Amino acid sequence: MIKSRNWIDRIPKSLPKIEPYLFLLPFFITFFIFYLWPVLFNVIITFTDWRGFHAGNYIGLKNYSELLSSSTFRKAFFNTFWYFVVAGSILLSSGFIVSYFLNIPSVRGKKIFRTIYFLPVAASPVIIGIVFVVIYEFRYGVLNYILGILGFSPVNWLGDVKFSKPAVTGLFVWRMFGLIMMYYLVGLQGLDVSVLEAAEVDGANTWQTIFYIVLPLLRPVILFISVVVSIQVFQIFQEPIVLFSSLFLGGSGGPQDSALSIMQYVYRIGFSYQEMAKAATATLLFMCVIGGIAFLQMKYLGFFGRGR
Amino acid sequence: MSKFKNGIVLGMIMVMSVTVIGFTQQKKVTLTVWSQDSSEAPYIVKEVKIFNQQHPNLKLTIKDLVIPGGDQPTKFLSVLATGDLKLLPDMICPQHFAFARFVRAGIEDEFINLRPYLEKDGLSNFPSYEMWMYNDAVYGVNVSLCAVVYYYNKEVMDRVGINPQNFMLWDDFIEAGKKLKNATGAYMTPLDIASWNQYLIFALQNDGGIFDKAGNVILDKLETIEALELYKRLLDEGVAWPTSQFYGVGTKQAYREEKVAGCIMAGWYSGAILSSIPEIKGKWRITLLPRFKPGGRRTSKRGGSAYHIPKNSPNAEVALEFWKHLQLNPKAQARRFAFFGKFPGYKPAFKEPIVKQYKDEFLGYQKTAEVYLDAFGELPRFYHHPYIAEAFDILNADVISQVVTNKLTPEEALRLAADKLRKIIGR
Repeated sequence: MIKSRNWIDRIPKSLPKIEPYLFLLPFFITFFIFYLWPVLFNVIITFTDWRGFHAGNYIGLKNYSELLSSSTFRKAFFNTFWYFVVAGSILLSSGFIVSYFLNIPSVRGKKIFRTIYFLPVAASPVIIGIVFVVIYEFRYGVLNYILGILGFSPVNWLGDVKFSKPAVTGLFVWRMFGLIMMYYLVGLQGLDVSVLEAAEVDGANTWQTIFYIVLPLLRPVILFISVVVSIQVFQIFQEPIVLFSSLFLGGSGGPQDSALSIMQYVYRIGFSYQEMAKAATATLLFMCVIGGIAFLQMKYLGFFGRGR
Repeated sequence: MSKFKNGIVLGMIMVMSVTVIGFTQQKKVTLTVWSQDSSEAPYIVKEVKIFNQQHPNLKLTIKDLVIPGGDQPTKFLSVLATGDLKLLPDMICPQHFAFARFVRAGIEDEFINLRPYLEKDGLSNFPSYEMWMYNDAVYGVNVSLCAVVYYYNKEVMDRVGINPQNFMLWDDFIEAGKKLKNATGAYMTPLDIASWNQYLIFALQNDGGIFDKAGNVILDKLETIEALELYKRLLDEGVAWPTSQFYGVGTKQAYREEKVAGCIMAGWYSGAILSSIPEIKGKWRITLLPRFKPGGRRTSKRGGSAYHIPKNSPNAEVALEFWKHLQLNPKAQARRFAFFGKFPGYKPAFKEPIVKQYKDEFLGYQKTAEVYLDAFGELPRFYHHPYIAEAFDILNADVISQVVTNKLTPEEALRLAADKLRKIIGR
């Protein structure tokens, strides 16, 4: 028998193979350095008063207690949750409705519509935001001009507490709509046509087909879309910054911080107040909330087995 | 004769040798400068040429990086945290509100204290050094004056028979505003109802503000409250045009349509904003502000940016010399003025002919230096503080918007804001 000169072949067979782990090692190193360590570091500094340069001192749970008692933090939290409910609902429902129509074989110009709806997704969020500032302008904006033609009074979209969140939501939905519509469209096109034909043969009308066949079959897609939408909504940052920022004043949270998002708040306390540890604390608290909501979504939509 | 020729040849060789030695001893230095916008680089390159002519032993070149003024602290802190001093820039130019972040991070002493050089020149030559001061050390001076004036549309005012140059007190301004409104429907000025942007101008003019020199909160000082009361009165009397997009397209369109016939803002406003409205070219002028009371100030300040020199940067000494050339040299300041059109923040520069004789084409060839020189001696102090960012956010969210919507009176809003700010600082 010829002895192998390959050192790996000379390793006793009783020992576990290390080659798979060697191949996985680069991933784990990268994962540790760029994902796991930053998260661990983030958790550690939440117990200090670190401001980004000199070493911080241990202060226990002071950051947590100050944040939870901060009215601005609570306001940002509430605003973000508002965006989650309103923008999320609009995107999930309108995305499905439009994609359903675009999936109908007899509809003409589908490719043109798909392109038009998807264009905002490809555009720069900052550029879109700047354009929307002009659209929302109180006295000279296009939107109020249209409202005037329809007989309505002009709305101070960016200056009135009642309308600042809808203004941000409008921009966000307009920007994300094309992407959500495409996800739904892909899901619809992946459905087994024979099932839909069988339903038609059995006498199901359009509404029955949608509610009892299409939507249940689309559950995995809906789960995916809802998690994507949730993550995007909870990370709302660019839209309020661009809509409410002033030339020389940096980003603002809108009138009385009525449109301030949690990510904007984190940025403000980290890079405006230079309170890095507190920004890390806010991020951690919010990460727990997002994680909880994602878990509930996945449980409700059957990711862990039998769902409703 | 041959000895004479030999002597000449020897002399020429010696001269050439000294010249070669002199050139080889010329120190070559490249300064890394962080500018706020791309327009700075050509100006700095021009000044480098003049600096090199004045310093023959030095050959200075500039590596200019454009980093927005508000982002410079983040980038600087990141570079500093690496511990590699070779990566530090030699000069940075952040905006005034960004300076507080250096103080908050505890690294203001990473910069050279420029106070000795300013005191040698005379502190009174620099009207805004206090904005860059912490614990009596001064880390920069405003690159331009940033004095506030009243811009007005002379054509519109003449039609109605109003001369803003005759305003003595703010009451006169309001009376004129009512006359203008009745005659043309126009407003005297836009007023920012979403932020502290313009309100602070009034507060400082009236010797109020956010912090005093000792770092005490003075939001609830009587003068600060009076300023907010005037601010509200301008809106309530209908002479000011309320806007939540002060720098936006709506305000510019209002100027174009002559719905707003003036603006209370700093000197840089004409170059930064008004100049983008060619339709109003030649029609507008400037004058000093009306006073709060007889004998009071006729100006205020708004904005500012300054060069800082990291003391551990690779070329700190040369950067300091270059800074002196830029800031403590009347001719260099005059050249800066000629390049940017922003009045110098250095008093001796006002004697330079190019500044003194300047006629602003956009403002109808008005000799604007006369107005700004009058303003120089009346500029109020604006003391910064490590917690200035929180103060600004409280003014935005809890003061301005609450007062303009009549939810709180100016006094109530400012007293609550002062208590909130003291609680944040004192925690």
